[in-house]
Amino acid sequence: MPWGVTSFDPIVSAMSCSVNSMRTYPPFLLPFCIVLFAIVVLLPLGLMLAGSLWFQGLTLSSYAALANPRYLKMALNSVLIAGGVTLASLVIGTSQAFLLERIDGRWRRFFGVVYFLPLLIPPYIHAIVWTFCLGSTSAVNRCLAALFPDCVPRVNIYSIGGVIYILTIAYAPIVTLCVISGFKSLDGRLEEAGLLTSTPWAVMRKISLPLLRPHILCGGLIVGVLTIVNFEVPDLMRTRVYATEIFIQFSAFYDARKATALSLPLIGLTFGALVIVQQMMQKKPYVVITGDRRVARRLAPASGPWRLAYFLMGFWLGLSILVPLGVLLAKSLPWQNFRTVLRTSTDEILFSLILSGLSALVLMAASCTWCYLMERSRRWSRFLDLLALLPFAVPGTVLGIGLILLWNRSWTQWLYGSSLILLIAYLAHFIPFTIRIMAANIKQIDIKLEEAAYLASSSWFTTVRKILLPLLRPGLFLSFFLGFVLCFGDLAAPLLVMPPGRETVPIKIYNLLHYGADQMVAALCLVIVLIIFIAAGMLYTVYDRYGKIK
Amino acid sequence: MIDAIDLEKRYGRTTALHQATFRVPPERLLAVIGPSGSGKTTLLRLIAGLEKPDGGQIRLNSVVVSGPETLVPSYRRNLSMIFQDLALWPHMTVSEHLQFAVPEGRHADASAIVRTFLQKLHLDRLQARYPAQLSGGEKQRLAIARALISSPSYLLMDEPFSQLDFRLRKEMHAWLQTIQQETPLTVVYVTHSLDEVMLMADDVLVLDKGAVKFEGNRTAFQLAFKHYFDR
Repeated sequence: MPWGVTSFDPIVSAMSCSVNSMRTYPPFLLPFCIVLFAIVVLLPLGLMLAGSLWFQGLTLSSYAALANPRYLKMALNSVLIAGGVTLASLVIGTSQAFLLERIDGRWRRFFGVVYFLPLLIPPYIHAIVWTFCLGSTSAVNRCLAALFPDCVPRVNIYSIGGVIYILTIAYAPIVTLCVISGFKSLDGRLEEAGLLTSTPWAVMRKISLPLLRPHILCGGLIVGVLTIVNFEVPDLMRTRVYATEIFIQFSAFYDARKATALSLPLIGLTFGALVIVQQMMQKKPYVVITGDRRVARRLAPASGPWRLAYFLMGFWLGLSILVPLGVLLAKSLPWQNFRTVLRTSTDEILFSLILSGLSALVLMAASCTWCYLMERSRRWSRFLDLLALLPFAVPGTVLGIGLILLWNRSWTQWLYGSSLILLIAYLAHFIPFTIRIMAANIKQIDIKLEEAAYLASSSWFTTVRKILLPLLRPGLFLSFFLGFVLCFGDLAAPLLVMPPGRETVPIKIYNLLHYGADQMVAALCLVIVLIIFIAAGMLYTVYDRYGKIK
Repeated sequence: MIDAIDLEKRYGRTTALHQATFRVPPERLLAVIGPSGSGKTTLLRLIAGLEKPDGGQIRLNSVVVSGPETLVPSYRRNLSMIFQDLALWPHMTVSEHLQFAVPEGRHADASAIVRTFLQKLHLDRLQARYPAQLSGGEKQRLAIARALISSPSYLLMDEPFSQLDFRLRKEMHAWLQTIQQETPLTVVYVTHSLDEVMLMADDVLVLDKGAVKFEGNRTAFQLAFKHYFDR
């Protein structure tokens, strides 16, 4: 359906790629990046695949497990959870975005700042909080037992419903973020033209939402993929899904072949979905950012039902932010626990901070270079774009197993035994996310700016230093921040490749959790959340001063 | 009849309109001219109800529709607007555009109304096409059809033909004149072109820095701004 309006939206445009322009970059850059990507991502995965097919000769024996009804049930659980979380996130995230962008409520500005805070709290911390709140011995269930002694209506958080609820709290802001980005790039006149003859509700249904479909789709896709590869929340909620089973096969039974066999359908499913959605977005470009784009007005004031909707949003944000912070604080008291936590975990906190900072820098540089090539190389653009999607579909545990198989050798102990392996794991695991952000930013830089500089200076490095990097500052800041948050809170990759004698904070929490040290867990979780919030505040301040393009 | 009384509109520290007062009598075409940034588009948006004034009032047929405390929603004002870039919806076909704009009370015979308008504006062969598949003139006709299908009493036009070449602009002027003869419409027409003013306007309003500098009929305008025409 040739709608013919050029897509140029920060998030959606990053899901599609265009080929343009002459080549201006040095010839060594492309092969260098592909080789690096192969070492970090393709080789570990390839080795896993080859290992699963080879056991005293070529064999498919490890794949026989795929037909086992137990695994089919797990696959069903995975799909059910991913579907549930995606659907709930789409409804909640899209409604939030609509309220924040188009309904003029008194609390709009405040909610517009806090809506993404749940995203900064790692999902396993949400899970820990809700097990404290709604676990079998929680105050809520004890109250219910006291109120209804004969027929006890327990709230069971250790269930598929519990996993869906927790992951929706953690991931719904992703959809909100995507849809808000769509609203911001939507030319307000398109909605105003509808408002002249129809009600705000009709305009939203027939104009805004259809035009924002790619953003909604994009948000839903990210949430779906993140959910299906997430192993820590189902693990904490004692729900068996495919991602946890892969981890168990490797860590408990040391069966890398079976773990690989189990991971293949998961990778195939998510990669397939990513490619399909990317194709759909390329065929259906929607909304323009133009020079004279008019910022849309609010469609309606927050009165009547809209006020109720605002109240519900406030309630949901309370559940997603206030409850975690309040519960963690209450659970971690008395204050001496914080002193103990800080005394016993300083090394882990510092190690996590330094490692995450360094990894975020590497992620930022790597994704910037990758996206530059993706945008500017004529022939390789599509290939690079597809390649960059691959790690997105691979669970962190699977990447961890691949890295162990590749690097756990006597002649590579200098790397495998050091923190470098963690850096590689983070790079492999999170580069698709930072690539999406950088790609969107690079797309917005007109090739003519670069060409004009190239004609004036003739040096590619000068052009990059003086033209490209200053224009990319917002994207660089954002990808650094995202990289930092993701690395700092990640549990999956370090669980498998943590070098001896070292521990990141998430690993420490995971271990403490298994020893039943709930107060210390709560205190440490609160410290993590506060560190992430402070880092977010500091980065925003720095971005506000130096990152914005004036 | 449109009455604007002491209209004020500010965006932060910038005053877009300052005590603008004027009247558009029924079934007349008022051309609004003035330099860029003089408040022409703001004026249209205020009349359309897309912005709320900071002071003053707008009355449609003596009913207050806009004021600092009042804002009747746009869809209850019985008006339409043609935007400068037309604001056609990229995801809707020609006929879907028209169906969307059919007023609520007439949804039962929407198909018949749409068919009539498609024929009237020579768009019947193009009804399944999307805006991207239309030529410049066809897009203009679609924007006009969308604006008129709700049978508005007032039509607001924000430099709708400014991006057209000379030949198409002439064609559109003829269309508009025909429509105006056939339909009892009060039109507010923002333009930069003196030629358009002289060709189509009954009355003229000159805005400068948000204030009304001139209000009168076409002949009076020609006399008052004689020095421009003599150049």
